[in-house]
This record gives sequence, C-alpha cells and structure tokens, in this order.
Amino acid sequence: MRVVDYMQNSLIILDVDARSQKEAITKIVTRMDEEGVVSNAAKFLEAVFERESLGSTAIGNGIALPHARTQHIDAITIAVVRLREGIDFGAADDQPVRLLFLLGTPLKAVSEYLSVLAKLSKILKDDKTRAKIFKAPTADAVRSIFEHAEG
Amino acid sequence: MTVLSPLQWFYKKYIHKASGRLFLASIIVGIVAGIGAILFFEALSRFSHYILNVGANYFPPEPAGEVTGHAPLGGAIRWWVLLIAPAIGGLISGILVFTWAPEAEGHGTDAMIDAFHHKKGIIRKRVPLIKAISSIFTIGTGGSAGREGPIAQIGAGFGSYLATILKLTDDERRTLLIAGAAGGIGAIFRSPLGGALFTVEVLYKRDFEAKSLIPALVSSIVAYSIFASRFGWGLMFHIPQFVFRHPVELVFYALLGFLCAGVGLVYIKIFYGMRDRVFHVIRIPAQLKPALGGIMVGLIGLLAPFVLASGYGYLQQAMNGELTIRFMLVAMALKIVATSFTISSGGSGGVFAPSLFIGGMLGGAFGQICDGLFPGLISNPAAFVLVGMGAFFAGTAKVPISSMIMVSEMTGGYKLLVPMMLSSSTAYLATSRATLYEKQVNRMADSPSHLRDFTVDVLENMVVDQVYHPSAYVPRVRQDMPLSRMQALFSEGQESCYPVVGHDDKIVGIISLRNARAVLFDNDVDDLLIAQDLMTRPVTVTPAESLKSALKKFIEFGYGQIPVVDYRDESRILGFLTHEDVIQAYDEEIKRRKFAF
Repeated sequence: MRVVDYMQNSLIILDVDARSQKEAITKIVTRMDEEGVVSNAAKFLEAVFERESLGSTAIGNGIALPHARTQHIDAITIAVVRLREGIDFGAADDQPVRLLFLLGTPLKAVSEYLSVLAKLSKILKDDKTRAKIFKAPTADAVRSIFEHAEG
Repeated sequence: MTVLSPLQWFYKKYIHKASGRLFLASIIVGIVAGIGAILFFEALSRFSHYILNVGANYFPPEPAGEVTGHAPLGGAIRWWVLLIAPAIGGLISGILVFTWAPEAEGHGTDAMIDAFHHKKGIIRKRVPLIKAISSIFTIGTGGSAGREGPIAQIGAGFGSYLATILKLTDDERRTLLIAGAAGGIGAIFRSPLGGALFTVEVLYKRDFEAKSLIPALVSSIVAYSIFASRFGWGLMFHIPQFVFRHPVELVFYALLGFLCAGVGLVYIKIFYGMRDRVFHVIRIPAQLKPALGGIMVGLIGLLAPFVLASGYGYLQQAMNGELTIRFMLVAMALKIVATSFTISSGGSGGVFAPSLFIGGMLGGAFGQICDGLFPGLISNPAAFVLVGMGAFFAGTAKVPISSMIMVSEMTGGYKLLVPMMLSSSTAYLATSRATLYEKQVNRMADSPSHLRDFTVDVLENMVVDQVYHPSAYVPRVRQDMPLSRMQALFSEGQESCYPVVGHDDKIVGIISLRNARAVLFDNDVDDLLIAQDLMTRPVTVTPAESLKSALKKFIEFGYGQIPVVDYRDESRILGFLTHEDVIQAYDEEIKRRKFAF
C-alpha cells in the first residue's frame, strides 16, 4: 500500500490556527472524530499525548509525525494538518513545526504501521516534496504530491 | 432410525452426564451382545452339527459344559465330507468377506483393535453380519478357528453403531465398541470378568484402556446373564480338583512359561508367514484363497480330525488326563499349521480357541513329561493343561491378566491362579513384543485415539523451570529508547524478542524482530521511533508454570521466545523460554515414555 492510500481529503486540513502542540493535535483528532475514524476520541488523544511525552515526534525541517497505536481506531489512518504559524515541538533542529502528519493505528497492525511510518518519513526527507506541501493550495493537491512522490 | 427415535429422545432428555449416558448405553450394548452371542452360538452349533455330525458322521468329543446330546449313530466316518467341507466353507466365507467386507479379512479381534485406534471406533454396519455368517461357514465346516473373533465383532459393531446413531463423541464410541466386544466374549465363553478385562487389555501390548473397564464390565455382566439364561450357568469345562500346594512346582510352571513363549513365537511366525509368504503371494483371486486353506485343513483333518473346528472336546480330555504325551504334541503342532491355513488364507474366525488348544496340549505334554522325570513332585500333571492355556495366550496375545481370568472362569480352576500368574508373566515377558494381534499398539501414547490426551498430559506435567535457559544478563530496552540506540543492541544480540520495560522496570511490551523488520535498520526513522512504537503486547511466564500454559501463550502471541520472570517480582527477568525449548522437551519426553518399559 502507498502512503497516500491511508489519506483522505476530509482529513487534510490546511492553514489552521493553533498556538501549541496540544491545540494542534486536538484539532486534528476532533476532525477525525467528526469523520467517525476513531471510536473514542478522548482515549485516542490521550494515547497520542502519552507517546509524545516519551519523546518528540518532530523529525526536523518543520515537520512532526505524532502517532499512536491503540484499540480506539479500526484502520491505519493518516491525518494532515498545516498550521499558519509554526509551533514549538521539541524538535532536534529547534525549528518550529508547521506540518503535522498524525498516524493512528490499531493495536495489531504493527508491521504495516512501521512500514507506513518509514515510507512517510522517507518522502518527507526530500526538500522539493516538502516545499510543495508547504505551498499546496488544496487537500487534493497535497494528495497528488504524495502520489507523484511515490510514483 | 424411527424405531430408535423415542430412545434418542429419552436419552437427550434424561441422560445428560457422560457417565450416565455410557452406563445406560453399555446395558443396551450388553443386551444386544448377549442376544447376538445366543444367535451366533445357536447357528454355529446347528450348522456344525449338520455338517460334521450328520454330513460326515463325525462326532468329536465335546467339552463337559457344552454337551449337545448328539450321539454317534454308528457307522464309518464319511472321510470325503471331512476333506471337502472346510474347502467349501472357506469358499463361501471367502466370497462373502472379500465381496462385502474386505476390511474384515482374517481374525475379527484385530479389526476391532484397528477400529479403536485408527478409525474412531467406527465399524461398518454390514461387517458384523458378514463376519458372523462367514465365521459360521468357516468354523462349522471344520475350519480351525474360534468364536472370539466373530463375537467380538458382533458386539463391537453394535456398540459402534449405537454410538453413531445417538451422536456420541468419538471417545464414547470407542468405549461402546469395547463394551460390545466385552459383552460378546464374556457371554460366549461364560467369562464375564475375563471378557471385560480382555477387551481393555488386548488393545495394547503394554497398557490397559482403563477408562473403558466399567462400561465393559456392565455390558459383560448383562450379556453373560442373557447368554447363561439360555444355555445354562455352568462352566465350559469340568476339571478335577486341581491344587497348587508346593513351591517347588513353581520351577516347572516357570519353565512352562518359557516353553509357551518359545512355541508362541513359532506359532506367530508360521501364522503370519503363511499369510505373507504363501497366501498373499499366490496369484488367485482373494475370494478363493480361504478355499485353498480349507483344502489343506481338510487334508490334515483326514489324518488328524482332532485339529478341526475348536477342538474343545480334546482339551477337556487333556484336562481329564486322558491323552498321551505323543498325542498332545502332535495335536499341538498340527493345530498350529491348521489354524494358519484357516485364518491366514483369509478365512473367518478367532485365534483365541486355537491358542487355548495349542497351549493346553503343550502344557499337558510338559506336565506329563515332568511327572515322569520327577515322580511325586507334581501334584497333578493335568493342571499344566490349564496353566498352559492361560500362559500361551497371555504371551502370544499380550493379555497376561485377562488370559488367566478367562481360563479360570471357563474351568473354575481358580486354585491354579498363582502358578498361572507365574507362567503367564513369564510367557508375556519372554515373547517380548511379538503378538498375534498385529493391530495392537505398544502403549496408550502410541494410539492415535489418545494423541490429544498425551500432548496435553506431557506438557501439563512439565514446568518452565525444567527447560528454559536462565541467564545472568537479559537484554531489555526502555519504553522510550530511540531506535538508533536499539539498533546497536539488536545487531549484537542473539535474541529474536526483547522485553520492553517501563519506568518501574516492569515489562510493558515485547519487541519481536520479526514484527519490527520493516524499520530495523532504517536510518530515516531511527530518531523518530522509540521502543514503544515497535513493541507489541507483553507476555511472560514464571518458572513454576506448566509447559501447557506456556505453549498456549506461544500460540496466542506468536513470539519465538517469552521472558521468564520471578513470580514474586515480575521486574526480575530470569531468562528466556523459546518455542523450540517446549517442542524439544515434548519430543524427548515422548521418546522417554516409549522406551520406559
């Protein structure tokens, strides 16, 4: 499966206002809840924060990949949030984070989940791809960037 | 089916518990086995009378407990009838068996044993009927075979059938199969205890099917009582007052045990040698082979009619001390050959009666020889007939207990139990694993019917502590350890799984390298991922835990190894238990049990 197969337009929210890591993540999870992707939004949120407390998921260059494996989601899902202003995410390169890819996974799908994370991370290492995502006007555009990047 | 459906209803409504169900079913099986024994015995006696008495004008002696009252009419024996009757009997028997029930070739008890171990206790409905009719033709025309095989099949076949129509479990069907055979044998030999013991003993060379004993006894009691109500409650054989009253006699009885073992081995060799090297090789249709065997038996019968049919009357004479050493030795040898011709050619009938004959004649001859060599030492040489009967069958059929009980019940010779115990045990051990019943398996652990019990049983009785590898240092990773640091650990370590511990050192998850393969050496994510991302559900075992419980965990979780922790302090990891450890321990234990005897 390609990374883009785990994305859906309704879960790609562009140019959101958020002043903190917590606010940004809560906004995505709320959207996921509205879309019926998570079975228990509060518990799911808790799992994402707990993971974040063990170590930052910022990968540098203004991007973070918060993730959680819990029983409160039925299928691997990637939700995307692009912020208007960067926020502090405890990144190793100290850059504020403006782009979040939140990966939710059911408990059992460990191998698949790891391989999605690895693919996503690899795509985002590419400077040109990153630049395109930061400028993409619509959710469709974001998905087509991934489609293009994965060939 | 419609006739039995009220019964089925009663069953479902009132008999819920398995033990109650089996008890009731055993009674029904006993009733049918008892009636079956009556019909079979009656039919065989009438047919035999018609062929041997009326047809051949041949009146062999009868055992004292089975006197038919058919007195010789005078005149010469019609030898040509004796010559051709076994051949015609063999021909009819061969056509019946090989056309409609080829799986029931040869002696019936083996087919019952095979059904128990390998066929979930299932016997085809037609088999008992075909075997009963073909056995009547084989034995009634003078073929050298006994009634135990066919009657075992009649009873066992009904037990199996009843279990199937009542939709009982495979285990219960096997039990009713045994109960049926026990009823049939217990009735026809008037040996209720021996019949029940025989069926639980004959399944194995070195074991007992103990859990079927009570249903076998129940069926046997019922069947015996029904049979005896029709044919009388007396013993099959009448014997003089045999006693055992001097320990020195035990020396002779021990020697008899060895002798029975030696002759028994020869008997088994000839019996199966005749089948494998003669009858299986001859290129004629299988249907005709029993006729060929019958011709050979008829030829022997011309010179020595005492080998024909069961020969119980001659055994009675041996017990009475009326036979000479020479006669008994010749009778023994010819009986071995005649039985092999009859049954190894595919004819129908049991090996029990011929075995009693051979053992009895051997014992009788040996007793008289010893009495001649050491006059006064032996209280009664004819007692050796009884002991020989029991010991010979104990060794050749691998049934040391039931053999002596059956002989005691058939003759009332309980006072000889002690010498019989010695001779039977000696013959049983000295014949090693040789047996007349080739479908017997060595032990319960070797029977497919007990496969599941034993897998569980073996693992239930072993604990993790016996097989795991304790280790002073067990590599573990912290929940928040980044992949970049774990990579070094994984590349140096030998383990396929690593325990992940939380801040309190308790195990919170397991990293299985198989699950984490996708990212193990991926430099793009080595700073992003931490141990928690890679781990899956935690599982541990303790040293005192059974391997059965450990195996369940391996199956449920799918890890190749599981951490062993101290039960008082779960944060103390003592080492790993691997899936291979469990399999290997199981394998070794099974091997050890097999060779334990």
